[in-house]
Amino acid sequence: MTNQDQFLLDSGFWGWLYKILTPVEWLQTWIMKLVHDFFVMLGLGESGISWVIAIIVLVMVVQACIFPLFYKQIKSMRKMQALAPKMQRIQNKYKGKTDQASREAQSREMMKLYQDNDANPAGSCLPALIQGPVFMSMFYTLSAIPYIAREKRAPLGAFNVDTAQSFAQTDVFGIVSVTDNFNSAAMGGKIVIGVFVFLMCFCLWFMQFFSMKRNMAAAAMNKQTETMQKMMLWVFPIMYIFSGIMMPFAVLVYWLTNNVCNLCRTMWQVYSFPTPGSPAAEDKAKRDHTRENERRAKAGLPSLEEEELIKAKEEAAIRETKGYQRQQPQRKRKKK
Amino acid sequence: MTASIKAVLVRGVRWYQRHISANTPPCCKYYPTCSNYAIEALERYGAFKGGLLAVLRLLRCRPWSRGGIDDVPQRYSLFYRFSWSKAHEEPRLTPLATTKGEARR
Repeated sequence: MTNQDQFLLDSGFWGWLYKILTPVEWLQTWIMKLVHDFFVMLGLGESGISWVIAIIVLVMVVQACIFPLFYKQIKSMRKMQALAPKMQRIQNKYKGKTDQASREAQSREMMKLYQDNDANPAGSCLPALIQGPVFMSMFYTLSAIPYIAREKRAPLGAFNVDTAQSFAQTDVFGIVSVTDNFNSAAMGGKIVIGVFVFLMCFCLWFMQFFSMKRNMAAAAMNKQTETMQKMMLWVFPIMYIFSGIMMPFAVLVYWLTNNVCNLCRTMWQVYSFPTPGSPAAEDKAKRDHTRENERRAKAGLPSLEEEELIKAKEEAAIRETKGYQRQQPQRKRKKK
Repeated sequence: MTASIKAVLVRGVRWYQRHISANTPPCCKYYPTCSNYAIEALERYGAFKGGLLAVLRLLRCRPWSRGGIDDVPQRYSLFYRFSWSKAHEEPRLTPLATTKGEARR
């Protein structure tokens, strides 16, 4: 961001990529403009906090669009987990057979299993593919606005020069402009930006930490994955610190909101769809148990424990009367 | 003429399998994979008819399709996936002896 006269993202390969994404960028600028106008109508300042709210709302809209895909992915993951025993059976059936014919028969059987249960391991890469470009173009739009305001770049969607200038003049809390980055901001601005970068990194760190602690099956952990996880836990947040101080404040707002949304989503996922065998899954089992008991209490049915006791008693009674021997099945005599 | 076109197409698919597909994790939702399907279709039905089958298969390999077992039809038809078609076949769990499996290549 040292080069103030030329928008670097518009040149080379990235320029070409962002040119293709223009429709997405166009849509995003209009969403921002409309949200901004709405809040101005409600009585907020023309170039002030309303732009920040516009950015936040934009992130939320994008997240809401992606959510159904994410949900579908979770569902498909659950299906795959439920199919695991059946998969195991097929694998056992062909254990140690390495000739081509049985290998082929094995893949056929697995495919049949997937097809019959509407689950597919390859079907779940789509959300990630869609997410990437959307967030990239959002980042691009927010970085481009200062250049539009200085008339160094052609207007983009809803952002003509006037709108872009109104955006660029936005002061948050009267200290930091949305186009400032860490180096160009005044002392107060530096502090605000620093806090934002810290919060952003903390969100990311906490998200990874949380899913590592709560959502990892203890059986799946070995030394290597553990060190990998620990490294990931620290590498990404620290990388974010460096890119965070380079970015204009608008991008930071977008980034922080996005990270908070991701964190909420992860927490929800760990709460409702935990990995089997993880601490979160144990908690969920306990929770489901108490909930079932409450439901039974309300309906006037015996609770799970009582039901088990009743069953055990019945069995004991049967043993008392009939002895411990299992009754042998008897052939039914057929009349000829 | 058509035989040579067929050979070129099959060589192309084989090149893709060896150099591009081999470096990426397996990710097809169908069995046989699209490239194996294409080779078999080309060899059985020639460049044009087989090529058409292969293109249709590629169009089928997209999100929101179910995937699963999808063999080259025994009897040529573009509509063999539909249950009303005369060429319709149930998915087979065991490969046919006549089909050339991956083993032969």
